[in-house]
Amino acid sequence: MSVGYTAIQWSRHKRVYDGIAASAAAIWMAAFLLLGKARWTGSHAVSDEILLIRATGSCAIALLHVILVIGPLARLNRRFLPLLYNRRHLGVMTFLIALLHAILVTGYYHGFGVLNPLLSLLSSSTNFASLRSFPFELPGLLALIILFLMAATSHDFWLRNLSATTWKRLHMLVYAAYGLLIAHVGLGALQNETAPLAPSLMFAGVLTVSTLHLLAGTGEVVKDRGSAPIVNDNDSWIDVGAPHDIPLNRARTVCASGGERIAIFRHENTISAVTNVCAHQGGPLGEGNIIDGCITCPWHGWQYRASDGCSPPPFTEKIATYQVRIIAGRVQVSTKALPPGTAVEPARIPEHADA
Amino acid sequence: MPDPFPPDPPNPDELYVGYLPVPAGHRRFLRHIVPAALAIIAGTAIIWSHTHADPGSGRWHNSSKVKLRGTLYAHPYPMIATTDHRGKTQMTLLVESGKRGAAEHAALLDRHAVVAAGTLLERDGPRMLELSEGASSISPDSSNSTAVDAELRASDGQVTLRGEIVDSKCFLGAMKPGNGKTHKACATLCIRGGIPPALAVQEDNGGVTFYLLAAPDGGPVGEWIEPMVADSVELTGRLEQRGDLSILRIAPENAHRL
Repeated sequence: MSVGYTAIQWSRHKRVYDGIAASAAAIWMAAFLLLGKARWTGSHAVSDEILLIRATGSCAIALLHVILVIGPLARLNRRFLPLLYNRRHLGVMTFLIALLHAILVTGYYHGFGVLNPLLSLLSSSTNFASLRSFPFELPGLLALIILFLMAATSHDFWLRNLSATTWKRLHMLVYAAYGLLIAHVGLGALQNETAPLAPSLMFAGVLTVSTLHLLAGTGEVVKDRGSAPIVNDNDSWIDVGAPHDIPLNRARTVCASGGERIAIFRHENTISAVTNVCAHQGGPLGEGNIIDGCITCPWHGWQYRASDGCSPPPFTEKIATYQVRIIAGRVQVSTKALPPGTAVEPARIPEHADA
Repeated sequence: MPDPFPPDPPNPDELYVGYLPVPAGHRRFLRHIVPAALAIIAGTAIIWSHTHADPGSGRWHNSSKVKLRGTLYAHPYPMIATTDHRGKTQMTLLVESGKRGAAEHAALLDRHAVVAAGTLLERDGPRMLELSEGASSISPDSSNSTAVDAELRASDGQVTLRGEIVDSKCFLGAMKPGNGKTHKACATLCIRGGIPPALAVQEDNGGVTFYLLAAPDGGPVGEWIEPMVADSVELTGRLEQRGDLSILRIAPENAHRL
């Protein structure tokens, strides 16, 4: 959260995070370069430039796998949330390493010739009908453009100015980039392989990313079904359960018939309801806690008052609120979202309510 | 009154927030998971780095300049015939620096005794000289004492060979490896720039045999070959020999992608 823009709001955590990420990338590339040089020597040595091309390319795609598994891991077990907090720095690092890979490839394979290197890159093969001859550089280039757009708009300045919805849609293109990079490697480097090791590693990576997303997605669906509310009053109110079914300083999330998720929080002796979607990056507020009296998003710690969905001053973010009531010992929440920042009187839990 | 929902691991009352101190439970978890993740990354990198295949024995002696004296043959691609220490005729292809052939440079000196200066590339027999920069890299040998006869010798009938079309400069050692799918664009650019195309045939004994590719009329192969570069192909044509260099004359209709 911020009232102004700075290039990077450094914190100790971000420095440690970036240090570990940079170390991981350095370990990867050093292993590739040193072991590559040791494996074939003398007249059979692999060119240094090609080792560097392989090291940067493989490092970028490995980092993209890490980026893609952090999201579902954090949904499945919130102890992974610290890895999510600074994920965009990992994204920018991935783009920079992928860019270095692209520069090396363009210079080495497409330079020194009778054509402009970029023209050579785009025209070296146009046989799209053959898997064997397919110009694998093209999906790699498209993926790099997507990674660039994501890296360039990763700052909260763009999140605010593009709107959270547009920004989110743009950044969901990471899955398109991932698919393009798998095609880039599958139609390119893997076609050089005669041993099954590299294709097996790539398959294991795709399987891990897919399985974790399926598990996290299935968990969400099960959670939505499990919270299926009882509808009454012409569908305008839904039953959430007894007040103490909601853990203290945390929320129970229910899914309204339109698919909108509502987070109902219990704080002190009151119940309040807000949208489950954080105004920042759409994080699941219902998986957050109340800290210092404010609903706190588990993704990046953005905070809102439960009573009106407004961030505490000097911050100005707002989220939708919902009316809540307690009737016959049952919490009920309105399905109609109120405009972001609308104050709603929290429902007081009667003293005799079951606990 | 005790909370009716005791925390199950991880403690749900603990929430990690980037700008607050890391909760104890998260810290303990991170102390295990971060080293484990780094170990997985390092292990994967080590396993993956073992996939580097043997790039072959091509070698570029680019730190030592040599001068070759012999007879220049300009067709199908510039090459110089010299005599080795056993008296056998040895052919060395001539190219410019970068991804450029030497046809223009050599055209006026066809079948002349010349001195060529540059750096050598070689791979299990076939050789190439990358000419030094400047007009003096090939010059007529006024002594004319080094003329070497390397006329074409044709074989009987046609042969059919299976292999990969490569650009001879990268294949002979300019790049390691200088073949395969990832090198396709580079090989195409080299051949487009006049570097002689060749067919690399994998032999059963693990070795690779090198055949220079020429057009049916003995000139350079046409642009039709470019889309087939780096692919596995079957070529049928007439085999010839100039010195120790095998040359396959092929027509487009006798080249098939496998």
